[in-house]
Amino acid sequence: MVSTVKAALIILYKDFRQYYGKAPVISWGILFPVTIVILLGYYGAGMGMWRTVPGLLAISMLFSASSMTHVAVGFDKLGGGMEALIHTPVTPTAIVIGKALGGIIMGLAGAGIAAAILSAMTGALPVFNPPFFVAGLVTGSLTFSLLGTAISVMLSPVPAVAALNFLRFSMVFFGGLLPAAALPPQVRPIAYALPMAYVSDLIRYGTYNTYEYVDPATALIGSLMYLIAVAVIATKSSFDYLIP
Amino acid sequence: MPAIEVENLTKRYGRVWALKGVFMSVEKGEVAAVLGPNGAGKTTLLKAIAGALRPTGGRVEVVGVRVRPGDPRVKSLIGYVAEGPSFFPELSVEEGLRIVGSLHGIGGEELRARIEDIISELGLGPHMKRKYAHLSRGLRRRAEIGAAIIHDPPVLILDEPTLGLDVFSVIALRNIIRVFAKKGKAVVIATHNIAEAMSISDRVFILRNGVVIASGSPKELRRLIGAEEALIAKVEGDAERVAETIPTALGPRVEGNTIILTGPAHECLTALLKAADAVGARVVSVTTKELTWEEVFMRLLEKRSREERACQCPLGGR
Repeated sequence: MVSTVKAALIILYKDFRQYYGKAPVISWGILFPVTIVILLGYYGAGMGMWRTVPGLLAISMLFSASSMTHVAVGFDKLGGGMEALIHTPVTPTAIVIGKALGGIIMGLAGAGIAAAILSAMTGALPVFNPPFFVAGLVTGSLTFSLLGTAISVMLSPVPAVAALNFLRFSMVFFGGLLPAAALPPQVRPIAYALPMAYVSDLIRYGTYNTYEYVDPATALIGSLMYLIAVAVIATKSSFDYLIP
Repeated sequence: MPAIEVENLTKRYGRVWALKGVFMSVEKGEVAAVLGPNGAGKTTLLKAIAGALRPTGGRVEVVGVRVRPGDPRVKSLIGYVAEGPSFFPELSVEEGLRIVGSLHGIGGEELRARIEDIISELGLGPHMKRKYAHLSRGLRRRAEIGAAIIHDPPVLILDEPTLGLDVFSVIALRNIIRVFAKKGKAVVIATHNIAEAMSISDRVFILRNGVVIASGSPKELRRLIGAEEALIAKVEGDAERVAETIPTALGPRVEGNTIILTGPAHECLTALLKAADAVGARVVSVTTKELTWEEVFMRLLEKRSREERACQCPLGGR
């Protein structure tokens, strides 16, 4: 029997061999974030780079991470890969970690590509508080990857895309790109109810030494709480799916 | 020690009981078939044996190891071929086998040798570099079996293994199963195909509504209904009325002016002549034929239904 870590790495390798070139990963995970980064990196400069850039990094991470996990879980459920994994001597935990790892790597790669494009457009990005910057990247990539895993495990692929896009596009506006002050008071709580505000503010404080929605300590606590909640939901739903 | 021991296994999905107390035992080197209509609980039973679902109650042991849901130790004792696809569509057969082998903790030279053996044993040589998604149904089944036996498990479970396969693939698959059993391994097959189950199995479990209603070797199952042959009688007169007068335990069936009975020959003949006499009909000719497995299966289901009705009358008044 292999250890959980080794099993997760084998599943990660399998998913990358199978799915990295799949249309949903390319379109939603790479092309869409790149387009939005180029577009808003150029036109959003008027809002202030400190507002736009962290949001764009977080949005890129969200789309790249969740697209990869959605494909890795959804396609495996449809094509028989998940059925094959269920009957190998690996724990459900290893399967969840293996699936989520692909999303984390894609999420970080998405943020890296966005950062490279934005640096090319506007000059090198500042990093005033590296620990907060790293915390934003880590909690964000983990949360968004597990979010894609949870939704894809709980729903069949088409409703999963719909649910995922509803959440993702909500987060583009609420917590992602729109300044808190620009949101009408009635809908502002939505921003605080979604993880994007906390992740983007961690990145914002890490890069530009300022924040938009919540102070850095609240952003860190909020991000961690979201991460734990999504991890619990993803693990519980995966266990229920793998061993009904 | 049996290869598989199932005791009073139950599984409930919401309000529906998929398994209502299944008992089952399969020895090493034996091929066992689980036979039953749709919704009988066959897949649920196989998944419970493989530790791929949480039973509501009861106990399962595989080669003496208590099956606990999701336990990797149990999974390394079992090879499981699911009813639907269970491989990696975008990977080649060889690469898929390597992934599964690695997840079983096999590596290096040993894994390479195992893959070579399996590929040659299953006749996958010319297809090993092809993607699973591009293979025919029969070849996909072989790839799935390859993945199920890569760790050389003592127990192999196959859910509807011949569904949708052509006759050549079915023959090849039967040979693979026989070879596997000859190595002293236990094989369990769930199938709708009665003739297939009877031809390949040493032991058959007939499952209906989550309960094993009959089990034994194919010969024993024939004996259970008390007949190996059907009596076919041509009748002049009202065949329907003659059949109605014959005891239902002999399973009278009417096809035109022919009455078919299944039961001990002398009982069938006596009942037939008595019934014909009673309704003023004449028996023109009587022949016998060996019961088909489908007829045996139907008779067993009927027998069980009669027994259930008989049991319910004094208690439930139904």
